[in-house]
Amino acid sequence: MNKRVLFCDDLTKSFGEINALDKASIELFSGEILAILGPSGCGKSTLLRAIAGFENIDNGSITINDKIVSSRDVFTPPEKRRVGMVFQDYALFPHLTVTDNVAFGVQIKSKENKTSLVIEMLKLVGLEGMDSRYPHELSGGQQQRVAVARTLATNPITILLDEPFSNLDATMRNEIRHTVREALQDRSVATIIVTHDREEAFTIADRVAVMNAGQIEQVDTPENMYRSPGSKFVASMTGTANFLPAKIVSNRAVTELGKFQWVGTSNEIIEDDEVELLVRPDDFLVLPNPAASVKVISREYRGDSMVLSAQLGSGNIIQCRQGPYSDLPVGTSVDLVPSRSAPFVAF
Amino acid sequence: MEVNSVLNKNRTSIFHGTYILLSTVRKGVGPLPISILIPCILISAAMMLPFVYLIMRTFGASDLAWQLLFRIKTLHTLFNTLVLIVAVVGVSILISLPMAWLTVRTDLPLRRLWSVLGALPIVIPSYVGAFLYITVFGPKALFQQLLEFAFGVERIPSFYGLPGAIIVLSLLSYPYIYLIVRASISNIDSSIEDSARSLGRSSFRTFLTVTLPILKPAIAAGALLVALYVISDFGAVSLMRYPTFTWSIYQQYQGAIDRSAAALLSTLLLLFSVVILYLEQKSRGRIKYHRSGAGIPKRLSLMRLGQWKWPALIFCVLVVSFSLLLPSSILVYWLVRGISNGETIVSVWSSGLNSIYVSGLTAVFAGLIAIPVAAFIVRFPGKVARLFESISYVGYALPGIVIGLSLVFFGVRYGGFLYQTIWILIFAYIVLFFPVAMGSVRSSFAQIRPSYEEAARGLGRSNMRVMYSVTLPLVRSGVIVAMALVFLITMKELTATLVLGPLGFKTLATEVWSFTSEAFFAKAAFPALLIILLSSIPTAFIMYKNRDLRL
Repeated sequence: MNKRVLFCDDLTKSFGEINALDKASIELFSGEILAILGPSGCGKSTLLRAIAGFENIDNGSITINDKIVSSRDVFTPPEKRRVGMVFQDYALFPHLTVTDNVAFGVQIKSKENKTSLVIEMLKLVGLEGMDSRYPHELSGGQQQRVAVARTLATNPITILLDEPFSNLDATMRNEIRHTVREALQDRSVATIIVTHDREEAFTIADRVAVMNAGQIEQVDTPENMYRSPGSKFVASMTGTANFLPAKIVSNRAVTELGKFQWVGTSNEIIEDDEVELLVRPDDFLVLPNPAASVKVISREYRGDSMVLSAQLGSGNIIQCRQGPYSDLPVGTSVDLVPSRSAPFVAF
Repeated sequence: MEVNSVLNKNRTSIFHGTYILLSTVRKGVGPLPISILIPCILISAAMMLPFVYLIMRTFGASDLAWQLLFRIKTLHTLFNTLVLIVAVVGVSILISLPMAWLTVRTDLPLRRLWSVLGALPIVIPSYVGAFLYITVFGPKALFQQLLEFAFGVERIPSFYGLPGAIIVLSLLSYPYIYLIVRASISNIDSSIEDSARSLGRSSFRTFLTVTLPILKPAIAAGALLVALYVISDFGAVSLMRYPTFTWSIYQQYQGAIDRSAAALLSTLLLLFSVVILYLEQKSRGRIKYHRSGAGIPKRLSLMRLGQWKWPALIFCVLVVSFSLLLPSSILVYWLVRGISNGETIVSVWSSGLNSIYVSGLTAVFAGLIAIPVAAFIVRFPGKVARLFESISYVGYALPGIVIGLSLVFFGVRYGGFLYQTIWILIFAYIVLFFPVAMGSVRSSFAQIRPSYEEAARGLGRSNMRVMYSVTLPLVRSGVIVAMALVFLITMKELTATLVLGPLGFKTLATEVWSFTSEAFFAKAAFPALLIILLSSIPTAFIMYKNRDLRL
């Protein structure tokens, strides 16, 4: 097990009536990238700012490298925490060149060592040769990478990135994300990334924490998070989620699409319970059958796939992902055939 | 470079929001409409007239005049002016920077009150301020009488000369820097400061290494205005008997038979202003000071003053007392003495009407002619537009005395029927204050997206009808603000009025001036109060209109 570098224990913070943080707890281990995923207003930015030392907390404690930096009675100022924060708008200093921005937080006295560190950092994020430019002379993606390099150069214990890729256009986002991930892994610095973008969280992080209304609902690897979410909220946050009503009969979940194996998220489900099964878009195959009661009611073409919405006899709608060449028109009567071998998650 | 040009000087950071907007909005490019181009050419030519004529006069100056110019006295005057500029700019920064910071970024008690009071000294003309301070701190004046009565002090250090000039001009001109820096401070994204903190800098070091450099262009822009204010000031320095350039030009003009010496000195003064403008331009370099990312600006976090609350409060109280409360209460004192001596408002009735009349005409003309020029600069950017733009700023570089003299020379020789009328005076005002009008009108043009006009064209309206039905209604409030600004500045103008006003033509400004220079302070109080009151109305209007101030 890697060393625990950051521990947030039951953090509580309210702004007037609003509880931005409501007993939020999270751990971060050395060398890992943790994504905090949540809708806007869930408190994820407040959590980040509390860790960085820009907000004090009402209750709980934040421990960095076994030293309490925030609690009801302790408050270490941001500059003493060795927590590097990369802001959503990058916050590059407009009056300094790229070199001076990156060198800003470096504590090395020797000028040569400082310069070589800056060059190393710029190389790490793929910005060689940009050293004498000013921030406004860079593209959004370049500014973003300067911000990361600037923070990495201070050799922080942990790095926090606040919606780091949200200001980049879609075509650049993947590439920059890749560069940044490699840079972070190269320095093996423990990182927290806050995002509302599921794909971003999944592709960049080793573990994902889903946050809702000031609380951390679940922390897990991206795979586990998608396959066995602990709540309906987590299920929806981690991907397209349809919920199919079912009843537990003889330890099987009986639905209008058939009987399925199920697995509970808690032990509270017992025989005869009314539950809902989580259905992901890939769980059913769509086969035309003129006699079936399920109808295709809309098609959404996404280029690399076709998502069909199928309406069941009960009115419930299940979205199913098909190959991009699926040509079932709207109105077709279809059968939904389970393609999933693992048991369905029941709530 | 009078009063609230601060608010509208386009190139300063106060409008940089507009600038960003301007650069993202697609420019309306099309064939140059002659109906806009021709007025622009005429207006620009007129703006250049005093400038060009002055240069011509310089080349035609007599040998004697050149000899006068190269006297040691000229060098001395130059030095005097330089010292005064540096000192006033320095003191103004020392006052305005903490004042702006305290009123925007801290939990100072009564923050809003201080932020408004801090801006108000801008309505006090320098010659009014100077006479009020003299009647307090001058020899045998109120302050010394008080000291003598209480402590038996019979002599206090002389208030005249450099110290007095520095104190008066700083206390009256610091709001120029204050207003611009305030706007700039409220535009700073606090994530930039947060970044510096998380990169390991303490809050004090963050202020020094990040915040202050970001404020630099705002400070420079404000300092430029203060420097130009000092260069062109005549009233305060002459009351304080501190010989600066403007004052010696006036002396030369009044006393000497050969007026080309005054022309030469004016040209030198002009060069001086140009150098200052150039230095300010230069100081900006290639750095841009707006936020680099596209994120959402964070709300500014207020710094807790804690134990510093009391020193901060005392600082604000001191600034406001000396720059605003003291002059206004002394003004009231002289007013009361004036009334008890039988002075009434009737005695300044006609000069008051004169002031309103010429200021009103100037305001309307300046506002109207700014429309085509601003439209051209914003809608048809390019070399021609840049030329028009630089020409429109010529008034910034020309102190009132210089424009006044140039037009006097011109009027004597070619003016004929115009010389010794108010029209030549109004023309001088327009050249002087055109940059101010342009600032406001231009930024309101810049805020109209060309797509509005394009949409109207697409709906079948002709170019001219679009101008009347869409564009003009949208810039109307900008034009009105411009007129208000020009009105209040013209109201206070003294130098050009003294030089160019027809014989026997009195404005409130010249009334105050002639009474104070003869030490009839009680008589000066009424017109002084009227100037302040009359210029407070448009000021209040502008402050209400201009949200950039965030007062």
